[in-house]
Amino acid sequence: MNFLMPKDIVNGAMLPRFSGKPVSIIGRVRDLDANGMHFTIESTDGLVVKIIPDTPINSPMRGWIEVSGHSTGTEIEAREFVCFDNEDFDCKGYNELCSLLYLVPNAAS
Amino acid sequence: MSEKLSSGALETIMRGGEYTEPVVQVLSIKKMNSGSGQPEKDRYRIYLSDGQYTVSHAMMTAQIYAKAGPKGLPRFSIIKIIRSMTSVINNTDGRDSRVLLILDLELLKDGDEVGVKIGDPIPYSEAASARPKPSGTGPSTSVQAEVEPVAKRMKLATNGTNGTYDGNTTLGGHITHPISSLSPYHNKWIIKVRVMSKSDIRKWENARGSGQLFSVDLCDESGEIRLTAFGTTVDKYYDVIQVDKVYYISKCQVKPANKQFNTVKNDYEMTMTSDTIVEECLDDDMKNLQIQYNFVDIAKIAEVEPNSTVDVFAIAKSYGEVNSFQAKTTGRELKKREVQLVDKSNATITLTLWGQQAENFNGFDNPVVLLKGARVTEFGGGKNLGTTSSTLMKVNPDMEESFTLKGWFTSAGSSALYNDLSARTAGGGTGSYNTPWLTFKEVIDQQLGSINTASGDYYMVKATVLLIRSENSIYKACPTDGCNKKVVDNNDGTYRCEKCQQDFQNYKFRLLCSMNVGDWSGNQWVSMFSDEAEKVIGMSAQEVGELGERDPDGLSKMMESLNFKEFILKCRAKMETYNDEQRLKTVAVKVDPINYKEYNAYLAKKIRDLIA
Ligand SMILES: [Zn+2]
Repeated sequence: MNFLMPKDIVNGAMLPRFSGKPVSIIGRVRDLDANGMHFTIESTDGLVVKIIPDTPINSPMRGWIEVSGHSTGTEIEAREFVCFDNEDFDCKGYNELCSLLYLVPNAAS
Repeated sequence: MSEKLSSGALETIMRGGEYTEPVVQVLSIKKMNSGSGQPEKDRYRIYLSDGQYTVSHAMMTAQIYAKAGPKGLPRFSIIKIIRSMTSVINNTDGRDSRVLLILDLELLKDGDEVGVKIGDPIPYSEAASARPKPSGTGPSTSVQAEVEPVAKRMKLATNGTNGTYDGNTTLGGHITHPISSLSPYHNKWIIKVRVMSKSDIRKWENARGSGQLFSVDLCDESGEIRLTAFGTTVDKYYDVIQVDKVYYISKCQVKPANKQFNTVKNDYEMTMTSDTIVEECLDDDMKNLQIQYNFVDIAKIAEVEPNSTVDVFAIAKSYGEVNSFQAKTTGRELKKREVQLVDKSNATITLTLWGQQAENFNGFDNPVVLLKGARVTEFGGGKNLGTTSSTLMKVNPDMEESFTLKGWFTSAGSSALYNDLSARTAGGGTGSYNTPWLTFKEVIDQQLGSINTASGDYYMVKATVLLIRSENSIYKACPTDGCNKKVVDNNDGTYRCEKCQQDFQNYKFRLLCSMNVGDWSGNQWVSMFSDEAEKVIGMSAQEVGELGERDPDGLSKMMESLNFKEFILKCRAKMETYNDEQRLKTVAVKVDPINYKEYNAYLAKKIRDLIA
């Protein structure tokens, strides 16, 4: 899987609905496990989501991040990350996007 | 209707008694030049009457005098003394005399209106002579009796130092004086002050030797003053004096402040001498003097109700000249100056300063401006800031945050695009919040420009620059403030403004740009005046004009480089007739950088409306 593969843009509350499917989520890094085996993010809708990378993380992570991977329903088995350096992120706008995407049939196709 | 004077009040006060807000008449006033050439350092000596007695030893500073208003205090004016204190002066003949220092006043009636001396007052010293007088031969008991009430009066008038001290020899047991009463003419004083800030020790070395200094800014309820220590006093006091602690300080040299280095609001500053005494005050932390700021981002002021007050910490991006005009209602001459403030919220707002504040403001080199309790006003759909008598304004305040903000401005802020909260809607009344968003196709479909034929039709659009014409985009304009009329080159080194009917040696560059902008639905030619064109180009009209004269190719290259930049435009569309032909004339009255959050919310709402 890579960034070019189709995936659904979701927030924390939508993970169970996309269980087993490739998703992309944006959140703020909370804490990184000492071994780099997993970390948590706070999603735009205020939920804590556990991220399990396929290879251990060996660099410091902070701030806003986009995570792509498979939803297990509650966690994400992650393959790719994009770290953003902006302090501000429009959570309300992102949640609205997530909701609109699945309200309008075929909106993104 | 004549004002009633507080008969007998001056005697009470000069004897050391208490009299709440006495009403007195000014019989004459004399300006005592400080000799510094700076009028704000002048003192005024006033001859006062309460209808019963007159007092000739009354003084006030230029700042207090200014409170009377622009006309000052003409002879026979009636004033209310709101705050005062008496001070004992050692005369050369060995006798003490008392001086009344007026610390705050209110002009009740203009002397020109009063026109006469009220009552038949006699000089207070003569009146006092009826009682045992403190003279070389007089009985000492009467001297004691008279001196004591004076001391009590001073206690009441000063920093709240009361009689609870144990009366030992430390400064704490003594009467303290307000900072506002300090002057080079008076050296027996003790102040009780809170330390607002303390500098680092600065050391220097040059051909004439080496030295060191540090300074502290001190405040009490009456004002603030800077105290600087040099040489060995630095070693003695640097660690002793701590920020936020309260100290009694005495025996410093008071001298006119060097405003170049000192932004503290006082005409004087102090230097420590070998006699200086600094003693910590442990029983009063002067908590009420701690200023609490609640800074608001400029961008957030858009949502603040008019007439509320806000604290702002910003950079003066630019500032205008002082403008004088007559107030419509009173006919008084008013002076004002406008200052553009910006902060990290990428918004700008106009701060209007009045009177002395307008004249004294120095906006050179983009200073940091701190405002506590600035008033928010609304005019023509735009927001502005103003100061009131209770607004605290500090320029380049000595705080860590100033350096951070200045650093931001130097690195990013000076070239950033700002959303102008003070921009007025040319049509009046309609702020950007209720101007409809339209696409260029909708503008044509809805026949904008033909609906409101008088003032034009306004709309908001997110537009991409497709082309800016560089030909005829710059013109030479009248240098008169606010004129902007194109000048005619007389070809003799002078330029004529037909509007001002005057020839000038110089001109200023202004922009009048025509650009084609597009969105997904279509495109449109719009024109922009200087202020908006500057925002698109990112250079001042002067810079663009100079580039055009120096390097016309460079100018067109620069204009080309702007293609595909995106902005939020507020446009005014108006159908106009040229030679019987109807043409839609569009002016971009406001150019703003894209606020993605806001624009996205608008789009999301539009989708919601569509699927509802
Ligand atoms: Zn002119």
